[in-house]
Amino acid sequence: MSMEIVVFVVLALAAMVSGWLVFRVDSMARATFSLLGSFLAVACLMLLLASEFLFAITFLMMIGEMVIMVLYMIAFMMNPAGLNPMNMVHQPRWAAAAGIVTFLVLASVILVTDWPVSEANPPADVTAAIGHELLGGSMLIFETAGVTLLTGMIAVMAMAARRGRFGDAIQVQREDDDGGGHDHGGHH
Amino acid sequence: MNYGPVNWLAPPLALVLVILGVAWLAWVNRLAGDLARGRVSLETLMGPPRDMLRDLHKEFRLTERPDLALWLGAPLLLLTLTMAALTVLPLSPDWVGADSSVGVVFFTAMFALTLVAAYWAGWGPNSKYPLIAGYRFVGLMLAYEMPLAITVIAVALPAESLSVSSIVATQQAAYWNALTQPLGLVIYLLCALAVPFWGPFNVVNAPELAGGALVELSGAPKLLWRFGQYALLLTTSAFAVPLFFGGGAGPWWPAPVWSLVKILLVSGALVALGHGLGRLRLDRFMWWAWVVLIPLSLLNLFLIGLLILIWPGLAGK
Repeated sequence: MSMEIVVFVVLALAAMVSGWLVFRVDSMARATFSLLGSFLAVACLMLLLASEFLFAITFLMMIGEMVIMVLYMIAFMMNPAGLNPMNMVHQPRWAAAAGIVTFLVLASVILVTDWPVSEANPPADVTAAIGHELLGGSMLIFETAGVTLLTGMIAVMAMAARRGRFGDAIQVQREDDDGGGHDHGGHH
Repeated sequence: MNYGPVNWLAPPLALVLVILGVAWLAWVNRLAGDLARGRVSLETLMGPPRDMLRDLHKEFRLTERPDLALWLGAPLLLLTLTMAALTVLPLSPDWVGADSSVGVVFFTAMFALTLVAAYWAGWGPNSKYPLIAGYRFVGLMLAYEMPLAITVIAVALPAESLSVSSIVATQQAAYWNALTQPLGLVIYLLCALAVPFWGPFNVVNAPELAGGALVELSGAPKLLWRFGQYALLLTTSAFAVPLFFGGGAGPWWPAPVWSLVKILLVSGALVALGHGLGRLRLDRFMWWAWVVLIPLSLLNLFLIGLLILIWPGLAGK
């Protein structure tokens, strides 16, 4: 067995096991970082595709992504009990059924499809080739997708945060604060 | 991806150098603090080793229902990410762990793991102040990670390469980046203080939170955590040398010696600077990063690109 196969099997198993752990652990932090572990294992798989750049950038982005997630969990948490141990699954029967069906469909697609084998060699400088692709021929596609995603994120934030974390309760508080502020502001 | 044969002497040598560097930083820190308070004495010299021995022989106290995996994982991760980042730090063209073609992206990714380590240190003990400290650092460092990454890209621009060795070679052929990108240097050094939560950026071991992540940490894990913080500070400031100060360039001495001397000077200066910078409220720190440093680092990137177009000699062409 070649070294590449060993590395692939280890990383693939790490990605799957930590992905499974996301739903088995009982704390927000452990679930988040199990998911991060899964993503980082996939990032390391990029090395087998001879793309050091995609490895490093996926590694960097996934860390940022997961850490932003733990921040948002607190920012949008309605109930501080989220910091306590909790169950990471809901509707387990439906979820299991959906999971099994999806797995069967995807696995049969893998087996049924007649995958083409590329004759092309990777370019001499993979990083430069990615750069030319991103800022050359496919720039419009990437930029459109990127800006659309960013707009979506900002829109979701604005909708979720419009009434604030405490809904109407904070409105009363703010009016009180304003009143207090004016009193000190030299209106006497 | 051919890095040549593995040199099994390199990892232990790197560890010895990191230990010496951490000892240097601990002493500089102690000296700077004692100078500021006007009480330099024998205690200044003996303080850091005494602190080390004190931590070592103290027992490790448990809290109520801690998340031990994350809590004890935090100092280990802090040290691991530091050593991983150091693999792409060249002391000279031959003295480098792995001269990755994407070295600058790699060490930036490793620095990002600090977020994870600090969050673990905050979450692990199941205690109020560490948790708040961990969350505060996540907010702070996400803000300072951006200007850091943009500044590092601006440094890679003249070299037309993401490899740290190429960045050094370009500077030695033309001008040091410290001369051509002074704005980038200042932004980098600020971020080099923020990433290892040093000086005013120390919201992880925060004094205003009764010690933050250090409230519940004790014994050998605490020693490892403090060691990891110094090692990370050493590493973030060490990368300023190949990125801005021409790597091993210098007269008389061989390149690795010059690299080490510069690293000790830059890291020592940053440690001392930590005592001199004012501490801001957290939201103001983040305001500075998002509203001032990110636009400034983009301006720096734009300026250096424009300069190279006008004057290719700047990039050694």
